[in-house]
Amino acid sequence: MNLRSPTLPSEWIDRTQPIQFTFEGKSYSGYAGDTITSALWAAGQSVLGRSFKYHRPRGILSLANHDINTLMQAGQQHNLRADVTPIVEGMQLTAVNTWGGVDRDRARLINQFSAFLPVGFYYKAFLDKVSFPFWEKVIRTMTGLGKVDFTTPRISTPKRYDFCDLLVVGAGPSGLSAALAAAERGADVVIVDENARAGGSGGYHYGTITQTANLLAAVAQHPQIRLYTDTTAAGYYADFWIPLVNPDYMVKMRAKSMIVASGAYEQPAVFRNNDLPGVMLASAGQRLLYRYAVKPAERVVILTANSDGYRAAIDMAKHDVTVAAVLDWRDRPSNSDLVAKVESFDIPVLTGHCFYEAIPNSSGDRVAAVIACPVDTEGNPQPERRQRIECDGVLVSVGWSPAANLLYQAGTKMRFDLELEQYVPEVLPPGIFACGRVNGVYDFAQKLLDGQRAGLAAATNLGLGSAETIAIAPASESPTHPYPIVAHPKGKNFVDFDEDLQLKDFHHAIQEGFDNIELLKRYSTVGMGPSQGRHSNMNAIRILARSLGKTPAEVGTTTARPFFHPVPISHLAGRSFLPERFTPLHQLHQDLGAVFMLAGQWRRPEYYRPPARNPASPLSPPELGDFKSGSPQNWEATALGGFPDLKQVAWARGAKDHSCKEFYVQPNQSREQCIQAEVNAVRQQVGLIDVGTLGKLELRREQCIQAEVNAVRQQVGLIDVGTLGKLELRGPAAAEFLERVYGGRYANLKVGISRYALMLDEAGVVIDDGVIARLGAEHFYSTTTTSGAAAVYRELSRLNTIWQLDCGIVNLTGARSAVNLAGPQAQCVLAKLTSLDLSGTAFPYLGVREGLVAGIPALLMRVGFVGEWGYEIHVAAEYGPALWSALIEAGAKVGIRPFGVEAQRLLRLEKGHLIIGQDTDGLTTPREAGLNWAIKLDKPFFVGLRSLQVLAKQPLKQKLVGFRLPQDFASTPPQECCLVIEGTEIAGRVTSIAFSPTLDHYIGLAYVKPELNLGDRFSIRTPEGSLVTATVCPTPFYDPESLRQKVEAAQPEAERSALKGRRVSPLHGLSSDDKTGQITIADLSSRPRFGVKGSGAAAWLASLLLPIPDRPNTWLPLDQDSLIARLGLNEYLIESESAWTKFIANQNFPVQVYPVLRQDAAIALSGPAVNELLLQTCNINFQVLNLAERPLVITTMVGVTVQVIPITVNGEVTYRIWCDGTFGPYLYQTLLKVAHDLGAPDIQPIHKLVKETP
Amino acid sequence: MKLMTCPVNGTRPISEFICGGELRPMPDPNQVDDETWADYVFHRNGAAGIKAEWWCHTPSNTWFVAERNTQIDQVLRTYLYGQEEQS
Repeated sequence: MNLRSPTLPSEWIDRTQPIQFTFEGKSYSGYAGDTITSALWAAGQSVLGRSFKYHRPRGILSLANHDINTLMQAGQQHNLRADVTPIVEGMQLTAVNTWGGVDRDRARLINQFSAFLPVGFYYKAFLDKVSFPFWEKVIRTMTGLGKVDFTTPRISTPKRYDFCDLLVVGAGPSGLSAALAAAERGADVVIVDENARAGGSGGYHYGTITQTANLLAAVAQHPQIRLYTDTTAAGYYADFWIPLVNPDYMVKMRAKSMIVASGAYEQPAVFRNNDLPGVMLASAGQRLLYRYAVKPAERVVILTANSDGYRAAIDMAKHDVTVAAVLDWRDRPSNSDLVAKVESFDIPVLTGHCFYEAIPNSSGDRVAAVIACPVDTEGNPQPERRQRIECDGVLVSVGWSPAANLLYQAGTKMRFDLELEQYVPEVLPPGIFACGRVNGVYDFAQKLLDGQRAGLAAATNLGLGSAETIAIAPASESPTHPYPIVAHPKGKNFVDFDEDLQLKDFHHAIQEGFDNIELLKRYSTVGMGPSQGRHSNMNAIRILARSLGKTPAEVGTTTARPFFHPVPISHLAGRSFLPERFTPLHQLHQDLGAVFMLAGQWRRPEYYRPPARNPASPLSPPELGDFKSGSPQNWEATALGGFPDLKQVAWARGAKDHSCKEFYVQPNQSREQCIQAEVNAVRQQVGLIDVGTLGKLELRREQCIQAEVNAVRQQVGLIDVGTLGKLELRGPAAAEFLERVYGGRYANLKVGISRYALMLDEAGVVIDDGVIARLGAEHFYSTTTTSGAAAVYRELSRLNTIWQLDCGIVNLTGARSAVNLAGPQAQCVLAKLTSLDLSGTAFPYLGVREGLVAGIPALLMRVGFVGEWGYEIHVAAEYGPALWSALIEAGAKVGIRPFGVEAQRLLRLEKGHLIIGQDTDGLTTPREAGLNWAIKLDKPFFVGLRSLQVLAKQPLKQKLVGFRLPQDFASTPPQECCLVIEGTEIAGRVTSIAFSPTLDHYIGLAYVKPELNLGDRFSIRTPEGSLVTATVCPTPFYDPESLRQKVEAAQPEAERSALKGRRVSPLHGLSSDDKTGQITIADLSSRPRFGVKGSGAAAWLASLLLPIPDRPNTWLPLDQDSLIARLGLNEYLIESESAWTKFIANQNFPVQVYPVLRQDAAIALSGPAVNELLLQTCNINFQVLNLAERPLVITTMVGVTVQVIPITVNGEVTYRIWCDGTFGPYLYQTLLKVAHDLGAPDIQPIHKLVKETP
Repeated sequence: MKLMTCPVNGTRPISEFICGGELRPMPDPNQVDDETWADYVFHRNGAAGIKAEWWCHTPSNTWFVAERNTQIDQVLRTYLYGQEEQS
């Protein structure tokens, strides 16, 4: 059977491009523009899928994605909706959920047993512990749509933002008319339509095609309108935030108003065998014909209850389809002109008739006849007067249901209109409008008017023009039959085609007491299939209403939730932005073999695996090793000879345990060549292979850490502490502010001295700690924990917003690099690099000094966190690498070693120092943690004081103590968070525990009952369940008298190098591909810049003869390429060589002027695709900014805080972007990746090492 | 995604903001009894209604006050702390 029509002017197919594909192993051909369904239907394939429950053959129902009769799989793409999926050359399709193919699905036998699958089957089956596992197994085998191919590659789907004034959902006649009306008033309009082409019902309705084409032409030419086809508005979220889903990606549209012109879903009539292939909705037949030039059948019978069915009859008759009869369910058709027109084609019109059932052909794969019968005055069928009408197709047009999902989600109040037999909007939320069928308007001319009305109303709402009244004529007929449902003693009259729900299922459910629409939905699962009730909800409401003797309005509707339509997981997962922070020393750590760990957003060295040296090795140096994961350093453990297959040793073992080196990379050699060379070396000379990693990875990590600990205890170590929060406070009230915020006393702190600082919340709970250093009478520098930095700065800002004290807080966390040089040799190493007097008397423990280290301006603090003589050295981030390298070089002779976070944890534990957040929790008070020494309860006020006063009257519930395990303890040790057990009760928990190589036994900290004293014993339960006895012992475990802070190292002869620190860009060393292309990214980090903030900043800058932007978040150009930008109310960023020179010369800042060290990663973005790059990375509409006003935007881009200035250079817009240098690498590389996806970017050379210290 | 208007930086998606909780004046710690203080520290009024809340535009670290009808989740107005009359 070939159902393809001759060429039609309206068709979407391109007959010059035939396309071959297979379905269920058979070859088919169609044309470009065909969907899978249209191509198969044209070839006479009527069974396109099998139903979910009874495996009944199914064909076309809606051809509009309102049903899932035709779900198919093509390789890794599953659950393709064949009705709307275009065919592609070579596509190999199968129907889902069949046992042995769609034509002879063995599971069709279930159809015979439908009586044993009653409504609520799941609830009835899963009754007890015996039936649950049985039925679960059966149902899991029987059900499921499509098969997941786990080899499907990960796809990084782009996501993008977009913006418009007005979003019109639906490009049918009313939507197009609305868009034009609003755009004419000046609105920026976007129209989306889920179909491949716009036009909606205007493209396939008799008499409306030309007018619709004219509308489309007008829209296409309108500069204010963007039309996106193949795009679904998948949901409505607050403030006009609408995900638009197209086949390739998701757009997060932010509109200012929305018009829903989404039309209506045609509703099936319910009669026996209404699901037979060949029985379809009339609109489906029209779409098939007009869009794809495919006839629904050779000879059709039409069942209708409105004018649409008559129009369909005319469409069919005009295109060579025999219409055997038109049956009108109504006694009296409303439009006699249409009746006459139909009858002029010699088509019999039987009024007051309906279908009793459809009859399948002998093979059961298509309709062969219908049984029609008259209805009584109530509309009920009278089967005793039935007649048979032969046909091979049936078109049904008995009613519509509004596609109101988005309206519901936006909070529209709907009412059931008894004239229309349809829900229509009653109260629309502000900014939301509806027109066309969803608004109950069906006549073509009235739809255009209704669209115009909605478009003008939306424009008025946007402030474009004034309100106009447009009257819409009331409908001349109800387009919907009030009860298009026919009972049949043999059933199989389907209401829900997804879930195979028959009429009787509803009656049974209602009888069983599920007589509320929400209960009925959940019990029967109506509307819960993939088509979400588009074709079934309304009939379900009618059945329930009639059963209860109520109106549909009284029954109500179920809740419509996003998404409107299934959205692929790949679209939702999409490209995600998870910023990572790198300290300025990151590359140096990498070079040193650091193994990194995540600390919040930071990547920190957990420990270092230094490259091993083995001079005897004939192989390449292991530094060049290409590690699969982990790395073999245990070169002492050599073993060679006797390997049966050396090739296997060379590489297969790596694959086996993923811990060994695969091979050693040689320059300019392929992998195979490298491996062969290794094999040859062993065969002919001698080879060396690491076998030390076998099952010993954990130990090896411990070895690295212990070596680092030993270095700090015995020689000297260096750790990157740049992740600490670093704040600078200036102003007459800075001391007062700190007194209020922290528990200790800072007003009496001497200049040049630091003091431990403990921060509490209002409940008296410890939330953060750090060190506060006094640099001047009104100048403090404080550190916070790594994890607390952002929150502490934010909270301090909030507190001073309330207190209004005369001081300013500057967050230097990312702008400063910091290292801790610690160990007996620290003094001696540092002395080589600075002229500061480092003697214990001149620079005592807790002292703070400012001076040059290796020629770099630095702040030095004598600290003792790890329990050794140590200096925390803070410098501008750009000098961090130079400082680190200088220290490593200076310490080389005394065995300096970088140490990581793990070694530091052990060192501080030996010293009994707490880590806030590890040794404290969200309820810990200073008294419990033994930190009362750090707070001064006699101060008049600090945050948390009042609560501590209350708590002081209450008995202590627990306390933190040090403990040790017996010297000979050798089994599995307890871990952090293991419980302290007393009898059978929990009596506390371990917060820290580690083996101390210095003390040669396990030490730890634990919360225990306050009654325990030094020397008392308590039990800890290990992860295996056994109890270990621990002894309470004093802390610090190591060096309790802090003698290490007093023993000075022999000061070497000062051999201070005249090193000059080199500045390094935060983007130093990042890969740079260069290609001509759509995007240019330039690194401008090296430009001189500084910041100032505070209420006196503007006046002070003016005194440097700089112009001041008069509005917040604007900027002014300075000489050459430089500029001054105002960030918010009182902060300024100046990027200018000459201004910077003045700034450096003027370091005396008056009150209320606070300098801000700027160590930004600064980039410039430009190129033809720059807008697209911004839309994919930043939720800001830069297109609407007026560049003449010189705007500056402070926002986030790829999750990173940025300051952005669009600058017009030679007519092209360049975006200058600044961000915290520690986020720079992430921002830069992420932009680069997106740019690559958009087309090859042109990356200007990275400025690697910039200039010498001035 | 909801929008929020920062008095300095303008209207932005709410992902750029954090909420700092209801604006609650601290009672004078030297005057109140323990129970009143505990009530201030630990108790929050969850009843729906119009509330003044602390919000912070995090990219610019701008704290401000938002008056929000928590029953319908509608922001009525926003202003910088202490500048209520100018809003």
